[in-house]
Amino acid sequence: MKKLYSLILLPLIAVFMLVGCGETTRTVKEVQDLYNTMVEKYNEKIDENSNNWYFINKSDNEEALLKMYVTYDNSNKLNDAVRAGLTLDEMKAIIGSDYAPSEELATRYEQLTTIYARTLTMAFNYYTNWSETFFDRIDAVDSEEKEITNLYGKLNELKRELESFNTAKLNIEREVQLFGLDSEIVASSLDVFNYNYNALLEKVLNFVNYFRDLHVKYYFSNNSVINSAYAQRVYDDGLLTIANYIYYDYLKALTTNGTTNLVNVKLKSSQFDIFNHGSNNVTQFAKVYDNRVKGVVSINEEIVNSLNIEGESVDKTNATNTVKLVEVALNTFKQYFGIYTKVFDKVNMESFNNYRFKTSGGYDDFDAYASTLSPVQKANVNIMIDMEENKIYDFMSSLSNLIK
Amino acid sequence: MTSKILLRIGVTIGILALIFLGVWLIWFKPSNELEVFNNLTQLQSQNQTSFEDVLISAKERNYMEYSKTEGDVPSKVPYTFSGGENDSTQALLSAIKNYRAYMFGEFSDYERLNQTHFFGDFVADINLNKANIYSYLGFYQIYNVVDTAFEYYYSYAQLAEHVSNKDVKNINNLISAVKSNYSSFITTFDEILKMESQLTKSDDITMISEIKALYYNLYNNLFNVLKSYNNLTLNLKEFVNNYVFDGNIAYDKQVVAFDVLLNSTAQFVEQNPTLTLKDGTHAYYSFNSETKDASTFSNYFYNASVVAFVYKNIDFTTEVEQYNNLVKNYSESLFGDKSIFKLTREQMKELVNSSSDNLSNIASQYNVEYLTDLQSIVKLFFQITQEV
Repeated sequence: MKKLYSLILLPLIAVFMLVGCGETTRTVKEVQDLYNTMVEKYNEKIDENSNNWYFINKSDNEEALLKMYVTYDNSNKLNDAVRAGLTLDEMKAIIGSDYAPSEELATRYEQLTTIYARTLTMAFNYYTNWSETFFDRIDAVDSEEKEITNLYGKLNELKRELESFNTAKLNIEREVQLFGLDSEIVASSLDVFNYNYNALLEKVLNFVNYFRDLHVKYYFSNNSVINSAYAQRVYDDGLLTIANYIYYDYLKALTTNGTTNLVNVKLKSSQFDIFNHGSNNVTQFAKVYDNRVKGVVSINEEIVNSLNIEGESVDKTNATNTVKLVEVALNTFKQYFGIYTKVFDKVNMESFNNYRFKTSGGYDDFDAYASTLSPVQKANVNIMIDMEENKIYDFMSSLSNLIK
Repeated sequence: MTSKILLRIGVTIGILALIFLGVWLIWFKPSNELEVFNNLTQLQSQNQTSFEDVLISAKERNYMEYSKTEGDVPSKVPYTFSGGENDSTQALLSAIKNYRAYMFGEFSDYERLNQTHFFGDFVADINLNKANIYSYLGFYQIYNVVDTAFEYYYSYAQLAEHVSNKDVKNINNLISAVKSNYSSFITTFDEILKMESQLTKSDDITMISEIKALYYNLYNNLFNVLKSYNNLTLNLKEFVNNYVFDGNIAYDKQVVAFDVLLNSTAQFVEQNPTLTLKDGTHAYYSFNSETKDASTFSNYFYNASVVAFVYKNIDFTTEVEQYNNLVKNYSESLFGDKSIFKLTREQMKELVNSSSDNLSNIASQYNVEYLTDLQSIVKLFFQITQEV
């Protein structure tokens, strides 16, 4: 009989133990501490002549922005060498590599400082701008423990990824010193670095998207007064949403086995449509998020001032309507982006990239590409193309109304 | 005893069968979620392709016949019937030519072409040669616009979930109607080709009259295609809205543009315009007790340059926001019986010219709080369509 009882009890005990092994509940202070530890570890500039730092130190009177540059810009050393009247070989000896790496590598370095850096900055920007307010007031609202614990978990994942990323970064920097910029070994290490960079971007987006959702849930509602803070939040959410889109459309879509090979696109990052669209609004917008990297405040000052006017005024009404309009565009884009992410995994990226970027010779036209697809696949591709050709630009144009 | 055991076994098997059936219905019931998409695909891949092949060949053939005679200037008579020998023949030939122009977009009057200023803008905009300009007018143009909207919603239809059998049946019926109209058009066109090949004497009045009658049928066929295809697309939009976007589709620039375009097409076809031959020389169309020269048809409807670029180059961001405002706060003004799109053009004009201080009868039927938004959407409607 005892055996029978023990047989019945054993699974119950196992279940109890499993339940007991759940995630440790985390507090707001723990989230903040974890974040500060991470910033302290990675906020130092490795090279004064380059932008190889991760977090801007707040003591520099600039906001803390996460960005990871690996520019390997030799121009300072090169200029020194030129001023010293050295020959090309002598220059190479001093700067440790050919001053002009092959086009392929040069393109890849440039992509790191443009697409990757911009995407990362746009994504992390939301957390930078709103974390302080969020944590200051979170105790006053009835937040759920599970949500803070989840937030901690996502930040911890980001921190771990940052460590892997840093190892890959140090490795490639060492190899550049040893073998020069233009070598097969460096190209191979660049793949590893690129792999880590993709993973890092994904973790940043996971973390910041979750933070954004909590932030909106607890501090913003449909009845919120539209003031400058409201406008800033909408704008920052817009940047984060664009970062999510770029991650999918330009990075994830071109990633094979974890490595993104943008070189195959035969386009320099600056030529990517999203950064180089013909519309003045979008061009202006692109410039602004370039400036954003340098910590420049983005929203048009007139809009901010108008929103802060006490009482009623025409300027305030116009500014409020502009913010409302952008918010409608933001919510609209988010809905279509949700559909886009659904179909994304169903599309064969290799052939899609071959159609849009001619990565393997390309197709004569859309019909030639479509003839290789089933009706469902073609429908999915049409949704992807619509996002790429219409919806992203409409949204960016609308968002740029806040910075004009 | 044995019977009791058998009874118990029977009851047990019955209960198990019911449980199995329940589980099967919940988890494994054949889904009809892709049925609509598959039927739309079939419509597109077979019937529509055949129809469009005929439509395009008819259009090109029509243009080629004109161009063979006088370059790109439309001839007074169709190429195959050159040299009508008496007035009555000439009149019938003119009528045939006008029917064709009505359907496929050519202008019967070259002078009119030159006097219509928006053509110049159109050429400058998209740098098309005149042959293509002709092609963009008339039913062919309207069909293309509806087709663009159809393609848009068709792509989303495969993502439909938890669809109701009633709505699937409704879409299937509409698909059947379009198929039937495609088929009628193709059959009639084949008959015309056959009769024209048999026409050896240009003054064979009997045969020309029969051909004219066939062109009249062809016009009705094409009109029915347009009507049913537009109706299908409007319903497909609702299907996608309900089963892909949970009844909450986001109204961006494209969806707003399609809503206005499809509703304007619906307004046009609802009036059932008919072709008539008047004075023995010209084709006229009539609706709403009005009679218009058929050659003005393409002027009446879509503003070609707006339609061609409505999705990309025309900034109606404010109207999109206003449309969203109406969807959110006053949706009955856009959808259903009270929709502003159900108004006649005269009523629309009345609404546009109304003011909160001096409300027209039509405007007073709507919530005055949204008058400005309603007026903007109607103005967009007028921007896309064009008055005579």
